[in-house]
Amino acid sequence: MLHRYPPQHGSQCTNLISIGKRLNFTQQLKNDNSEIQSIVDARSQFPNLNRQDHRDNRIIYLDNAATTHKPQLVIDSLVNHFSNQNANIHRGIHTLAIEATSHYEESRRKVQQFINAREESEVIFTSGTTAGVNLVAQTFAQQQIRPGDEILISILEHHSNLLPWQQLAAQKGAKLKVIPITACGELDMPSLERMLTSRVKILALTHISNSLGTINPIRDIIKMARSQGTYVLIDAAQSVGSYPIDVQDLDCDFLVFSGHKMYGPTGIGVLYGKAELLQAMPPWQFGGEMIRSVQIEKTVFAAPPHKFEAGTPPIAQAIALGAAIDFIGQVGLEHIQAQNQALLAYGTELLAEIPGLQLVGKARHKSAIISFMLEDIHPHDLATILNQAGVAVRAGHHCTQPLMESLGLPGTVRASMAFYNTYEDIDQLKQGLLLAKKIFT
Amino acid sequence: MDQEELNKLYDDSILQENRQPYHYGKMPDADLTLEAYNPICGDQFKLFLYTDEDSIKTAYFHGYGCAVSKASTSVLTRELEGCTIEEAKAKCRDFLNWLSEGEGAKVNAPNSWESFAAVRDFPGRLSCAQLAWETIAKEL
Repeated sequence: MLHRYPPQHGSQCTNLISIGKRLNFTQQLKNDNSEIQSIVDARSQFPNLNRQDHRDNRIIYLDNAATTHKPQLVIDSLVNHFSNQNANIHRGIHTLAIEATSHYEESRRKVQQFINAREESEVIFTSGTTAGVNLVAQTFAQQQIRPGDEILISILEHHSNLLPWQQLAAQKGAKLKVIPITACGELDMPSLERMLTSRVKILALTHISNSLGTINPIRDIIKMARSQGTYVLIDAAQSVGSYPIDVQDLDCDFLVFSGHKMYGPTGIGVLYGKAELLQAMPPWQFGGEMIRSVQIEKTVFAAPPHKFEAGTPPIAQAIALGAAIDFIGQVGLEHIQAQNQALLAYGTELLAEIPGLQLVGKARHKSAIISFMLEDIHPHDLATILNQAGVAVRAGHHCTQPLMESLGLPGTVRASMAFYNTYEDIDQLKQGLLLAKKIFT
Repeated sequence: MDQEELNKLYDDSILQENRQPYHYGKMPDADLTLEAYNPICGDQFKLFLYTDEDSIKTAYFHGYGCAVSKASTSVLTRELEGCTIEEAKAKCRDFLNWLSEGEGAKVNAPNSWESFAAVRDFPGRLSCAQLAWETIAKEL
């Protein structure tokens, strides 16, 4: 049975923002040393934005929360690695190995600066956000959690920041507690305050909801957690690359993200952890690269970050993640953020004009993610019709089944924008939705 | 935008079966209850069968899914009635063969299946049409 999304309470939720003055896509960006002088220039760096489908429609890509397209700089970095370097890193004496190692470690420095970590060794390369959460759950939390302890998450979490904690809680006899949300899709702060007691050993919280776009006030929440002696892991998969992240200012213990949602390649992600915690944590996986000395009887492990990077890492991807950070620097995070917010405001207002369209998630602070239902048309039927109109969106539960269940929805259609999307892309989304209404009426 | 392909997928018969499905309702006292569930998309239907010795007298279904899966489950529900268990399974195997292989399947496809041929042009949606038929073929 399909239920309506809970009624909205006006003052707590987003009032539709006036479209106002359209952003000037050709405005000069403040980059002296870059070929990228405008958003149009930046957009032209993404070859896949010109892709057409088999009906010669330009594919309008509104599935950026799943993964973003890659700029030429990132593509070139991958090609360059395999064409000109391609060596295994560390302990290599030959030229190629030395170059590859230097680029790999340079990329770590770029990440460090990008998220303002205090030390390079606080940046662990992982295969992605999921691996980052699992690493912390199975090492740090494995040691910290005792029977009866509480682990706190929110109902907004992606399965990747839910299952590792659910499994750990079951294994340890700990309690997994879940912060609810309000009718507009914001964290229910009174509940959070009530639940965040000194019994909570770890708070694992998403910065931005991948399903609803809600931006959580993580800085304030981390401060609250600190006062209870609670450790905090932030899932920043949806925010790094779109919003400024300063781990020292946030004062979180751990922060995880993926390269492929910030214009970088798949297969690479980052776990940031405070140096003193990483040093005390046991390794997660065992093998090459992560040792100081090995004897048959015992092993002395390397210091962080290498302690947590067993085996040959995704070298090309790590280097290309550095290229993605360079690219973001050339465009300017402030421009990316402004563009995202303008697209969100435009899309929210335009879609709300469609009779029968129900926005799901109306938080006051949102990223460029618009989740919705249209009358009682199933999200997959909508996605099929939109695909036929050349618009790529995602439909379903977005790996947040408990959230969907709490909303009484089987799933939603999710349009997620990146800075390279245009108002015309959103116009086309609206046209596709009007066509769906016509077909189903 | 090519609306012709869309009109084939969402033709009058599929839309009608979706809007007014056959024997749509929960039947807790049914002799046999099967669940058709696609964890990837979340579509979930329960099939309720009333049997008389070895044959299906009456069938009902209830649940949630897209227009294609709901229409396909509706057509299946209607066609199960009067079949023996073995006939029902064979019919579902025929439908699945016909859906994946088209005319080459050497199956006598009734008119009621014709609308689902359009699903072949939408590879992402094949599983919607297959869902309930697969459940009967494998689990009955």
